[in-house]
Amino acid sequence: MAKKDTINALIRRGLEEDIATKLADADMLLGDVKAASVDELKEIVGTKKKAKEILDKVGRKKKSPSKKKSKKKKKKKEIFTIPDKFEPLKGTAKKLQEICEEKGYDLPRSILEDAAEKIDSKDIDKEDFALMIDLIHERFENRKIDPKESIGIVSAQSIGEPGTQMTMKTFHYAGVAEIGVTQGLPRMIEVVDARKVPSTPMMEVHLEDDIKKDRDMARKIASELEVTRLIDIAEVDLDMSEMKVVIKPDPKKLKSLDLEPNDIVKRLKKSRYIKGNVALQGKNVFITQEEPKYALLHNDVEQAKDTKIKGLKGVKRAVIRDTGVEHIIYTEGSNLQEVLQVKGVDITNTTCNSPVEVYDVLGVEAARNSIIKEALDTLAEQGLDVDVRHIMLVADMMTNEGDIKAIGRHGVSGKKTSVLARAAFEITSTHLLRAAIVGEIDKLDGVAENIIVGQPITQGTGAVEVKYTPKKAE
Amino acid sequence: MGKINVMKHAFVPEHRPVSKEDEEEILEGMNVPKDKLPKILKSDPVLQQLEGVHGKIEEGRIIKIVRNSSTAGEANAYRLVVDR
Repeated sequence: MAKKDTINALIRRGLEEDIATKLADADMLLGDVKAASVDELKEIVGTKKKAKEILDKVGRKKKSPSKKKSKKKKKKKEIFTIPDKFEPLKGTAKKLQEICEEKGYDLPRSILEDAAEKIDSKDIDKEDFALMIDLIHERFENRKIDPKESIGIVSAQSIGEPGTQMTMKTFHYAGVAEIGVTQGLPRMIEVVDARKVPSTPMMEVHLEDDIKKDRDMARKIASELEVTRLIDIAEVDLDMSEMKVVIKPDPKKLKSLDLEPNDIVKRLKKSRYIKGNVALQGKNVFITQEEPKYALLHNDVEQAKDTKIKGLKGVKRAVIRDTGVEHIIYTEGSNLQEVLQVKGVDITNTTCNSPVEVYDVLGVEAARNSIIKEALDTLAEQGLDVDVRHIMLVADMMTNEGDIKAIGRHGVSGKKTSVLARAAFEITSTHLLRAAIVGEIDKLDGVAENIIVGQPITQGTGAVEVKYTPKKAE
Repeated sequence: MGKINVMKHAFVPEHRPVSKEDEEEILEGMNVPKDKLPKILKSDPVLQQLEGVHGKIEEGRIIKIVRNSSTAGEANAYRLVVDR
């Protein structure tokens, strides 16, 4: 049967019947013939001339076989390609990089780029590049954090002090149209606590390049995201005398959402909670029961009202904002997993404001970036300027174990290996008791435990020891 | 559920498995024992897709991550694959 279809399709494209039969006998489908190379076809039909003829009639237009092959490969792998996120350095920056490699220096990319930019604007001799790199390298090394410096404490204070100036409660709406977002201290706590669902989940949905300026497309996609319940688009009533549920859809609303009364029937039939039979009569939808019972009918009315007709689970509202460059859809409620699968949504830039959700969909590294972004944005919103490195450290700690751990008793602090350090933090007696029962050993590696026992801590100068090997007496 | 290429997302940096031969050099360079590296779970969405490209990635392999850093521009990080 399938073979016959293939033969017919090939003949329709102008091939002779015997050649078409040969191709089909070789288990080739129309798509395979299109993608096949001349050599492959030659093996089946015999001569090269004939093979070329087939490709002219059926195959894709004018492409060398090698190109065709590479394209085929790309398509197959599409979901798995690893995009290159960095371009190699160019121009002056590249020269500087080469000098660094020669000298064995390890300077970060941003410094090389900065230096290159300055050099380009100043007209400096090429011979002086090496000298400059030497100076840059010297300063860079001087500014590195010393080994055993207590960066954790520095970070804690650097985030904590500006934190005291944050508002405790905000009823303020962020620039985003009508969508209220938790801000200030409560939001900061939320991020650091790795709350599963933030108190105001939100998504920022970007559109693909070709449609991002199209307001109608934005509106269409927004309506696909927003959850629409039956009660929003129809009147649901119980007809006592006829013992049935009457659903009268509003034609205007249906049209604006691009729905048909039949879609409602389909959705209702899928619902597990509706017990009766759903049927379309004219423009209205009816639910009837085989043995009418009031309790069942009432149940159906309530369930029908609540049935989701369109949209993604959890997305309560979608608002479109025109930034001039593109239309961005902001949603109240979030469902990142499903929104990324909606056609027309740009999967590169679409995000949600919950690091835990980002972790579930995109993995640890993405979660790390999400934590950094959320924390920084919250601080910046309040006009506080905290260095990213402090927040990076927090994000690194939270994602160190491969998943997201909260800062606090249930997460990072509760995971410490030392009993004494855990006991010093919270719920002292529980930790000591449990340690005593299992016979835990404290190796006194950390800071807290060494302070408790009255030893110098293993930080800063306390971390180094003098080693002296006396000369053997002669 | 349809699959999406999570590696395309702006939040997801470049992940690449480190070959067994290079592992020692990297660890020596950082002066860190293997088990002290940050971890990445085997069930991580990115790792799942990486397996599609590089074949099976067993526990104990090291993944090189090239982060887009706001301070360094480009920063290398390494994570150890664990199964939990």
